[in-house]
Amino acid sequence: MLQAVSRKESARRLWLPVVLLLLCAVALAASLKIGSVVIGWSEFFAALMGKGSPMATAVVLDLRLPRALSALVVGGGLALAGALMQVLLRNPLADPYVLGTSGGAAVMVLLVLILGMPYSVVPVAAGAGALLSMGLLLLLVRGPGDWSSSRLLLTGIVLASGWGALISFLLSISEARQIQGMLFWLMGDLQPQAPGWWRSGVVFLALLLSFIFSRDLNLLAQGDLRARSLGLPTKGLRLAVLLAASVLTAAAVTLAGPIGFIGLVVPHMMRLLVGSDHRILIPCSVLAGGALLVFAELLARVLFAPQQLPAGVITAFVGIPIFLLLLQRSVRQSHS
Amino acid sequence: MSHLEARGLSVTVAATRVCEDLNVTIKPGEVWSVLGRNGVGKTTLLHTLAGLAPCASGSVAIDDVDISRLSGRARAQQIGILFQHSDDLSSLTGHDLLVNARHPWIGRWQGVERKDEQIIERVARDHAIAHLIDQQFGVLSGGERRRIELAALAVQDTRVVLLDEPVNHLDLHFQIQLLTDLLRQWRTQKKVVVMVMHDLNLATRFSDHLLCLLGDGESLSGPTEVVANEENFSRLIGHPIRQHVADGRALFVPV
Amino acid sequence: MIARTPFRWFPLRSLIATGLLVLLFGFLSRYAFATTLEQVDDRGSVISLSAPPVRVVSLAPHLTEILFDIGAGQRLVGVMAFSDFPEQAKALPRVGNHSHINFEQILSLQPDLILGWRGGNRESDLKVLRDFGLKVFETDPRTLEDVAALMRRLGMILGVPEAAEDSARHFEEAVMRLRKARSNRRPLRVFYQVWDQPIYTLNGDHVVNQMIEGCGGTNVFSALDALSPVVSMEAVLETNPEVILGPRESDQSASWMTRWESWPQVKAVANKQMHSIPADLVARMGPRLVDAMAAICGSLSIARSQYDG
Repeated sequence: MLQAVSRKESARRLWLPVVLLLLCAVALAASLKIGSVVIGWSEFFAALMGKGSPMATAVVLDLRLPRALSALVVGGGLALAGALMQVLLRNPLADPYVLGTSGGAAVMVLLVLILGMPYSVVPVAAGAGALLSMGLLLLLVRGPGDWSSSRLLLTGIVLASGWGALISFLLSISEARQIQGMLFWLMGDLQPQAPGWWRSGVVFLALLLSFIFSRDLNLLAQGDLRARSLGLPTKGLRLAVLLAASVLTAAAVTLAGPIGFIGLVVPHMMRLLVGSDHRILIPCSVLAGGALLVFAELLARVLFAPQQLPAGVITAFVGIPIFLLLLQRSVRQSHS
Repeated sequence: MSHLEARGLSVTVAATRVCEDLNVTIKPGEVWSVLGRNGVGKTTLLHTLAGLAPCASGSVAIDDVDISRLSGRARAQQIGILFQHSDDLSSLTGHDLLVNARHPWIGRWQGVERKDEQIIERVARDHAIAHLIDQQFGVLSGGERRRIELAALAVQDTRVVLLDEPVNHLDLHFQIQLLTDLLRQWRTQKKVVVMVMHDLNLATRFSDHLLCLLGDGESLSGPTEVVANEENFSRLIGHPIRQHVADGRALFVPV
Repeated sequence: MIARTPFRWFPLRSLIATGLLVLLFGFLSRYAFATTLEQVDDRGSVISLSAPPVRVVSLAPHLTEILFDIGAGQRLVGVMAFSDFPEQAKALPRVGNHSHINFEQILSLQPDLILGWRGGNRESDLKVLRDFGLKVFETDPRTLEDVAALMRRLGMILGVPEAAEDSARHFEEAVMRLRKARSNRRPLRVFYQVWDQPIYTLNGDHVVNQMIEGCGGTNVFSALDALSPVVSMEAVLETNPEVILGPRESDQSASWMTRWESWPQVKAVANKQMHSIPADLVARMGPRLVDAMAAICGSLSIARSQYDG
């Protein structure tokens, strides 16, 4: 029997998704139990049933649960968007925001805040901005010639820079009291708000489609020409991947602002563990991204309680050591 | 058994005319070499034959079916191509490449099945690459990469095989061995083989037909014994060529 | 005998007398004028002026308000954006906002004194003004006492010490009256919310904290280190405040109250003790802090009647 893949990697492909699923469950449970309001175990279970004291039940079911679910959906969605971007652009440095989606969202959000509109408009503005950015990108990339990865990347980076300049401008003309709120949004933070059906649906659908088309994604990773020589309709597929990644990013940004790090590093972490086969990479990335953000959100609330840090700051602090550890191990393995 | 036809094929790339109104038929079991100077458009022509580049006019057909009418899948089941460079594959493993090469044969709702795995195993054994396929492409030598890519072509199991400078950068020993073994196998299997070659002597030694791209749309094609002579090659290379005979074989050497 | 001596004595005596008088005068005049127009600012620099300044630029809205309050408002030639009180301040030329100071305009106004705010102006900007040779008097009032003291100091350097003393005394007496009026009962637990998205509050070092305590309340987050920290929703729930106070912009109702309405588990919400204070009053370290404190005390006394009956 030919050893198709190294023994370690093939075994990992089986148990890693299970471990990650368990990790998600543990993260969720911890996020529900731990917080500034101290809730004992018996009270906790009663609250889950809806039968605890009014404060405990409200805190667990109305505050912690929706936010934890949001973290799961946003973290999973961003990790998936990152993996898709990395395949689309064939660039390991790609993340969900590299083509300007979060920039467009941020500009619209800042505009809304400057104009003093109620905060409930912010998510709509973020979504509109993200989709506007994607539309602009498609418009700019049109024209003669196949849009290669490098052309797409370059156009996207320029677009993102443009949004960045607009953001700086908007910050400079806004009033002192508004800036605090704007900066906090720009760092990425979760609201105690449920993800909602449409967002969860988007992430789930994207996950399903990515999984079904994972062989196609594997081929796309070989490059446009090679993929076409193997029968892949690359133009249509790449457009679909771009759309999926953009919609996922828009969904995430409307709920939590531009949370960084997850989209870039989680797919790489999974690659170090299970290789580049998207059939395993995609589900593992989604689970790992969700678990990471739930943990990060918990730490953001608890580390300096009663003060609260933006979750987008903690994701990097938690993820970077893990990533460096994995990188070290894989480097050592490949040299042994 | 399928034959590959270029019908009135005109191909241009940038401002260069590669070929004009080209009509050739390549029959199963034949091995063709495409020769020409750098920049004349050999790779572009190969890509057009593979259906990966558009042509200005005319068509390419397999068994009288225009390949532009075929779905991507059907085309990939018929035509396999070996590309010239593999620098952009560094993070993939050989195994990934072999599995991907089965893609045209795996249905949308199927997965990689036992049958596919067996084919991969057999090919890896036959090409003696089993010990290489777990490593990332980036760490392999040029020769090892070529062998894996050729194995991928075998896994793709197509009737038409197009090769873009298959033995570039390989040691001479490997060059001879590869061409001898592969071409013998493919001839037996009655595949249609078209190679872009840079070396005149390898081309004349291993192919039975030649297609010479002389530049500016002009071309010359036919059996090797007819086409391979001093006059044609001197014109092709742009430098006087002298023919010598050694061990019963013709050798073409620049003056 | 009489004819010769007076001629010789008179010039010498008058010379000595005049000399002594001049010396005396000079000596006295130094004491009379010098110390009035020399003040040390919060940076430790000595600002001295040979005459009361007549062209003053104010780099903070509260400084503008203080100047008008002590009767020196007509000397202002330039103010910051949002200097909208009193009414006359609205007509004055604007020389900058929180993020940007228009140096060229300040120079063109040729001020003889600039009043800077260490807490709100950028240090680098103030340095630029000083490097131009302009006199910059920097202050940073943090408490109610600082505000009264600032009124007096500005009165000194502007040459209106009596008017300033009146204003300062009026301010101090108003504060004292409010403090005296507070109840002897246990202090009410107050949560002060500065901003809603995210939830910003204030710690014990802030003047708002001083006002809350002066009105018989205690700030639930007074012990935190940062001056204006971000706290989690849960942290607020855990403190279960009896009163929630927050600022109200002039054109809108306090939108932060809607968030709390869905949390009847919080005492302040259940007992309907959420009150808003006009933002302009409470955010400026000027004479209207008294009005802010009166509003806070008013809210707390309403709350007290609710809780203590």
